Amino acid sequence: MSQGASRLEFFPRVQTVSTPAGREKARWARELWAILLTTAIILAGALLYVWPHIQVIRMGYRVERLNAEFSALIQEEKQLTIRLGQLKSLGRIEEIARGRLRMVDPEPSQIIFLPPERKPKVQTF
Amino acid sequence: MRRESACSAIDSKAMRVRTLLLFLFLASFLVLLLLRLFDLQIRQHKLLTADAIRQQQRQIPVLPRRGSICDRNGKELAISLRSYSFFAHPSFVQGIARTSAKLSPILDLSYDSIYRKLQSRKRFIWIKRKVDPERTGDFLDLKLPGVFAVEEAKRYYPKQELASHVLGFVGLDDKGLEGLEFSYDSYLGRSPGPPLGYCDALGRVAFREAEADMTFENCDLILTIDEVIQYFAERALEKAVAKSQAKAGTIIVMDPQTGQILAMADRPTFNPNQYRNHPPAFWRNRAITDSYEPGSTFKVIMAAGVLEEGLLRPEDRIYCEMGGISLKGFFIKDYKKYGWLTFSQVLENSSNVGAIKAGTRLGKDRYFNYIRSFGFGAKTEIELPGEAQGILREPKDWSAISLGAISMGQEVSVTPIQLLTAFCTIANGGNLMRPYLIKGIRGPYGEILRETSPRIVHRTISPATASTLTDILEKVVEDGTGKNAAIPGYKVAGKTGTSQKLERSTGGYSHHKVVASFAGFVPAHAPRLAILVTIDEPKVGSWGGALAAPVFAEVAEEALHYLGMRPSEGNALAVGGKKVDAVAGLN
Repeated sequence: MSQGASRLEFFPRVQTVSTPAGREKARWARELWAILLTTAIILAGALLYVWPHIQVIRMGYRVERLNAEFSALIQEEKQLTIRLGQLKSLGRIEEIARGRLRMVDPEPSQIIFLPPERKPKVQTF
Repeated sequence: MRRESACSAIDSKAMRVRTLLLFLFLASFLVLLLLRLFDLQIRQHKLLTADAIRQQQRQIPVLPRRGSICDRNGKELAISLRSYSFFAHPSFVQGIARTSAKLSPILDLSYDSIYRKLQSRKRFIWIKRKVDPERTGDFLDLKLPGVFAVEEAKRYYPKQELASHVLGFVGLDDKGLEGLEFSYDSYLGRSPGPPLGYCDALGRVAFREAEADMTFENCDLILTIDEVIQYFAERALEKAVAKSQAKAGTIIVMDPQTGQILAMADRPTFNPNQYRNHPPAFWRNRAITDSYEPGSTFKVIMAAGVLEEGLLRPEDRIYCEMGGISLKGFFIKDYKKYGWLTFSQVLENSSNVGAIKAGTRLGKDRYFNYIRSFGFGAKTEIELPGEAQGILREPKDWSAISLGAISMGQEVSVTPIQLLTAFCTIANGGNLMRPYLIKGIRGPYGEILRETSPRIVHRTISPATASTLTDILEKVVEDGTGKNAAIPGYKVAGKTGTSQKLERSTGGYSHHKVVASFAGFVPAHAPRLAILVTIDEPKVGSWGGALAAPVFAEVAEEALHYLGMRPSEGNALAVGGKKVDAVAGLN
């Protein structure tokens, strides 16, 4: 036993008696462990195979959620653009300027022409 | 010991048997599994794959978002939003009265109208289409049996009537029906077709095929229209049409150097958000679809031919018969009695007699060729649907008086866009430009798919002739019939026109119905803007110089200021009531 304990063995020594029955038991135990290990390896392989598929599906759900969120944000942005367009409508602004603020057209002498702005050299569309 | 050994042997044997049995059981189970696996994976492979696809794969409803239409500065003129359309299967509705009462405030429809619809015996009815999404939340809370909502796109025109004739509108099915919405429907409203996705047992989309986004973005149109100039044009036209109580009016503002349309408007107009509230006649873009006899504005075409051929110089004198001339039995009169006028003065004073005499020198064929060369009698190929090409008969079909009549702008029919394009030819030094409205097309990811470049159709007259003609047209505004088009600080070149309309009942020219017009460009010798104004059948006033020329002046002045064009004369401007020279310090 002391000799057995000093050795590093993968399979535990169940019984190392020199009797035939003991040897038989030990052989069965080793075989059982081998079966369990093989099964574990097969299971691990199967899990390894299934794992990316599960991940793809989980990511798919996440993408769908983000898509919906994105779509809602686009919708909101478009709504705000429309609202902005309505508020900045020149007819409305003129109406407010003339009606509420009592503004009038400038006399020709009141118009000052500013030098043209230097536009940055970027391609505008 | 022997007994122990015997017992151990028996145990071992029993265990072996048990293990063997277990092995056999597992092995047979495995064999069964393998057989089943073979059956499923190989024998029934095709059938089961098809079943699985049928169960998992679904067509995911994707709402294609129609592309926006923007002005040249990127301001949105048309934009699409998600909305909801409500429909019902009347046979499944429980409690029509209760359902109608609950839906009425949400859909902003009367109780009676909903009630009537739900009483229908049809299997499917629309209750209301394209409802703003804010209201849909209330509907979902109600959970009304037999009533459903489906997502649809809704088109908005935030600037209301602005540029409505250019933009057009879309129908309930989101297809363009008029204007650019119609002619560029393939870019704005492409539909990808329902893409495929894979759903789980609960019907949730697990993942979808590549590039099958939730929304399908289309291309945006970038127009040459400038929202601000468009507004100036529409406002001035609206005032003029109202003041003259005219039947209709048209204005086009164009960049004569490039052919870009900066503004295009018609009166009467319509709001494309509620186009069905307006009669279809209001939808028509008269600037391109309606042709009319241009009258005196057409004398410019005759003058261009005469000058180009060297038949007359501006200072050459023509006797104007003291107010009238007989032309093969027809007596043509002038507005005033003129004796001797220079060719330039013939245009300044818009003498019909002088125009007939000058045109006669040109002759039928040459005149016809110049008319064609200025683009009349053919479509300009502007990107709008329904463009008319006007009426221009072949010289062989001209009558004895046709040459004279066409010289003063009768017996020929033109569209406003054709006439302005012809004036642009003079303004830019003799090149006929193709007018265009689409500056570019922007893809769904902001990439530029197409950019339109100015296109010269051909050279029509020489730069020298164009310059001489511009000088004459300047005098029309300075001293002639177009004085009302003058803008302080800017040189304006233009020509008035007042043409009688044909009376269908008599077949002759009407004495009451006229088209008053003015076409011109500014600054005369370095033009940035070419503008045409027509006022159709005014009841108050009738002359182009009185009705259309002031509209030209108003729009041109505001647009020039907006474009930052400094006045070419009278630069001494006042700042704070004190006159300063050329706004010192700001140069």
